[in-house]
Amino acid sequence: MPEIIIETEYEFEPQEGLNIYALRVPRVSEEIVRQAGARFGLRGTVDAGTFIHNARGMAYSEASGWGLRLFRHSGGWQYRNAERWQADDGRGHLEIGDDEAAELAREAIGRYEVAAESELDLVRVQRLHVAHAERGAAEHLERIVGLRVVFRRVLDGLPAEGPGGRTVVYLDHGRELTGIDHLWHEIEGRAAPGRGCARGGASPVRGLRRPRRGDRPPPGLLRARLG
Amino acid sequence: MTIVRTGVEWINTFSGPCKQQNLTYRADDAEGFQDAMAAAGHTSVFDWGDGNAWETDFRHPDYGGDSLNWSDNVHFCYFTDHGGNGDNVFSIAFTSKHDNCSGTSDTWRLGAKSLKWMVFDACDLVLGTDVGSITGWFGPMQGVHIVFGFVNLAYDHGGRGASFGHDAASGAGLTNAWLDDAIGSDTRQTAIAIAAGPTQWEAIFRRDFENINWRDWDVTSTNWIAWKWYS
Repeated sequence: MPEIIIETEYEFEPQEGLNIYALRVPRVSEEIVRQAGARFGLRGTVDAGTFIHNARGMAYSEASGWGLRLFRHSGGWQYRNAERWQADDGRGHLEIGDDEAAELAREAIGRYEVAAESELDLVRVQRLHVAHAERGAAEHLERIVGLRVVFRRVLDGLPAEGPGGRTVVYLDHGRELTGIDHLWHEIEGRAAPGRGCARGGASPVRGLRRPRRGDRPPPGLLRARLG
Repeated sequence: MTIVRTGVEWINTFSGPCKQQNLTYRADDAEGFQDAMAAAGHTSVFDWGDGNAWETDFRHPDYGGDSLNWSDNVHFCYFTDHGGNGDNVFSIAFTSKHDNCSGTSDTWRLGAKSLKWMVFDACDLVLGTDVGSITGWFGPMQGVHIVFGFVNLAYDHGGRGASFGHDAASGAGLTNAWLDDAIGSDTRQTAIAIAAGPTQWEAIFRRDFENINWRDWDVTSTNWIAWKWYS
């Protein structure tokens, strides 16, 4: 029976029955690009766009400016408009609250069926700023030209963050979608249930806190003995 | 294809005589950047790590340094370890005392010779994003096109160097790529890019669109700077 040892102190008791999941080996192919891009209306064919293969993965783009990049190591993808993503038109300024930004992002995620609502935990809303100034100037001109809304993955009710569990939605100053990053390891299945939790040292376990909105518990160090 | 010469310096282990907290992933980021560029055909010129990284490699000869033979002898330089900032003077830490334990931006003239793009993958490139915090870079930027770094804290994660190198080598806009790849390694970080130009238009245009193929569009003077960041 696998044993889970928590090497970081937490504030609460760890829950019983933490699961160990097997990750699906990422696949990168033109067919996978087509499948991932179909939800966005990308055709994923050489007649409709351009494929580029390299060590990092595979990129596909169409004349509209929209394209999708699939990463070899994670199987994650980025859907972006090359002309509008993180771009500045020289005039636009976005004023928006975090709640509205998050709602717009969730709408986009739902519209394109990127992930289930239950799998997402809002991490933060980040605004993209531009500014410039002349030498000797006491003031600068600054505008907010877009934003990104960062979500982390929730698994078994616990948040996980990292290369295998992040979704980011990009909006421009007009609140229009300019990209979605879905860096998400696919789960093959539950490999085994974990037997309890114990600390890998002399100190007692202080626990694992179930997150509340607004909290951001640090990533924990978890060592699992399989077998 | 525009060939870019790269040089990297990094410190993980502060074995002394100058001491700081050891780091783990600095070589990963610096060498990841250089390897990604090299895989696309660009030239790796130097890779100095730990005790072989020296502050004189960044200090201009006007201040007794040797920057024209090292950091300013390449087009794209990537430095990474601890950084700090006091009174808008950015500093970087070294473990070898050659000649000092730290290098400070008030002794740099970045871009005086060959340098076009400079990454300081370290804390505290600037402490804020208001003009008062940014204008400290008018002095050190003497021909360099864009300086990349972080506002306040940066975290010791690997991967962003290689990602940035891949994006740079592919011809992506450098500012957007840095913001994307630097924050991608840890969303708590605030990445920033500062571009220079003789005019307002050029500084903004460079900030928003420049890629490595603009290597030879020289910054004739740093009268304007334009910067971009997420917060």
